Amino acid sequence: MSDLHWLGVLDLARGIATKKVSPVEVLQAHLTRIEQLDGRLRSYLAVFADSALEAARAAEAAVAAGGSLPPLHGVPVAVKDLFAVAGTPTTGGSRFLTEPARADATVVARLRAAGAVILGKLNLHEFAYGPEGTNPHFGTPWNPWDATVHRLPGGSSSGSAVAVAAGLSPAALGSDTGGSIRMPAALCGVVGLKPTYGRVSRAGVLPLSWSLDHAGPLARRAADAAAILSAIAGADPADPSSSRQPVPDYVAALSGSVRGMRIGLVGEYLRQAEDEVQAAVAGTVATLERLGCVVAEVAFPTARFALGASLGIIAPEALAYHAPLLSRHAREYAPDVRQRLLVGRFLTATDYVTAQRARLVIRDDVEQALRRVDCLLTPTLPVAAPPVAAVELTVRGRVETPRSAFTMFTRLFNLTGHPAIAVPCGLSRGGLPLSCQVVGRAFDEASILRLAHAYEEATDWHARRPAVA
Amino acid sequence: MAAADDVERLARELTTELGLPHDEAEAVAAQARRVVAAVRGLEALALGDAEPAPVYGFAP
Repeated sequence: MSDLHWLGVLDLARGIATKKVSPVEVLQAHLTRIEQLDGRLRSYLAVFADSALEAARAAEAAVAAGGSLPPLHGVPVAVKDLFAVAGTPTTGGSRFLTEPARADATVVARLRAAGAVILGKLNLHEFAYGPEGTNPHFGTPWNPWDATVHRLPGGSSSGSAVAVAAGLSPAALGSDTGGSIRMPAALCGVVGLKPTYGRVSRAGVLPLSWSLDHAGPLARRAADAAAILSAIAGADPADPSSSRQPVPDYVAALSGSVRGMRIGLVGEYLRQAEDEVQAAVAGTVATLERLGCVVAEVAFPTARFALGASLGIIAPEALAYHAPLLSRHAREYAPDVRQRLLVGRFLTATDYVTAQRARLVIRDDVEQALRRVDCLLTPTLPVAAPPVAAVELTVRGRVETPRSAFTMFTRLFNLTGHPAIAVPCGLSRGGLPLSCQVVGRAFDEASILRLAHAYEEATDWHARRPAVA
Repeated sequence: MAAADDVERLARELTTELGLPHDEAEAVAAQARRVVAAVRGLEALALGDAEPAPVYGFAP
C-alpha cells in the first residue's frame, strides 16, 4: 500500500487485520512524515517513537499469531497534551508542568485496550484556554492549508487538527470547552466530534471548566471519528460526570439511511457568517435535500445569552483550578491565558449561579427545537482561517477578535451538552477549508455521524488535501 | 455586585500580587469589563424558577 499516512482509521484497521499492511510499516510511515513536516508544522510536543514502535511490533506479532483482534489494532492515534499518558508529563502546553503522569487517562487506556498505538502528544493553546490555537512556549502550529502565510490553526486542540489534516496521524483526541475540537477541525479541514456531555470520560484530562469540558476525536472522515468514539465512550467510575447511557456501535450505525431526516437550519447563526460560509452551508443544505433530508429553519430565542452564560461558568471554574498554579507560576503562563484566568476574580458567586441557571433555560430552548427536528445545522465558524498576525477580523461588517468570532456558533452546545460534529463543506475563495456543524439530540451521536458520513459519501470536501502535505 | 465596581483597582492589585508587569493591569481590566458586562446581561433573561445546572452530572 502506498501513502499509508493518508489512510484513515478504519482503512488502516482493515488493512492490518487482513495482513495487507503491517502495524510497523504504518507507524514508520507516520514517524517519517512527522520527521519531514513537523519541524514546520509544530503539531507534536512529544513523539513516542520507541514505545510506539514497541507497541506496533507487538501488534504485528498478534496479527501473525492469528485470532481475533480489537477494533483499532495497530492503528496510531495521537492525543492532545492535556490527556495523561503514563510515564510522560501532561504539560497542557505549558513549560512548567513537567511531572510524569502515573497512569493513563481513561480514554488513553481505552484506546490502548482497543489496540491503538499511542503515537505522541499534541500541541495546544496553553491549558486549552483559547480558540486561536497559538502557543508562545512551543510555537503556534502551522495551519497546513497555506504554505506561505502562517494562519491560525484554531484551538485549543490546534496540534490535533494540524496533525490529522497533514497526515501526521490518522486520528487524534482533543478537548472542547467552547468549541476547542470543532474550531480547529473546521479551520484545518477535518472532522471534529464533541460528544454529549457525559458520553466520554474526562478522568486524567487536565480540566479547564469541569461543567463545560468534553473529550472527543478528530479524524479525516466521520466514520473514523465513529471508530474512535466507539473505543472511548462509556461510563467511568473515575469521572463522576460520565453517563451510564448504553454505548451503541457507532460504526455499524453509519450505514442507516438519512432519507426523511428532519434538519433544523439555525438561520440566526447562518446570517452572521461571511458570504462564502453562507454559500458553503447552502450547498450542504442542497446536498442533504438531494439525500432525502427535510431542511427547515429553526430559532433559539435565548441563544444570544450563550456568551454570557458560558463566560460566567468558564471564568470561575478555570480560575478555581488554576489559582494555586497561578500563585506559583504566574509569570510562566502565556499572557493571554493568564489574563483570561484573572478575569475569574471579577465575577461573584451570584454571577456563577446565575450563569448555571441561565444554562438550563438555554438548554431547554435547544431541546424544544430538537423535539421538532432530528438535528441542527449551523456553520461551524463564520470565517475561514485568518493569519496568525490578525488582531481583528471583520465579520459581516462587525469588528471581532479571532476569539469572539471563532466561538460564535460552537459555545452554545457546550452549555447545552448536545453532541456536535464539524464537517468540511467547502473551500473559501483563497482555498481555505469551510465547515458546517451538525448538532444532535443528547446521546444520539449515531445520527449526526450517520448524516456526516452520508454527506461525505455524496461530496469530496473531506478528500481535499492541504498545501503543506 | 461589588466585585466589578472598581475593575481597574482590582486589576492593579492582582497584577501586583502576582508580580506581573504593571501594564498588564490594563489588559486584565479591559477583558474583565467585557466579561462582567456579558455575564450581568443574563439579568435580561427570564430565569423564573430555573435551578442551577449541577456542576457534575449535567447532561441533557
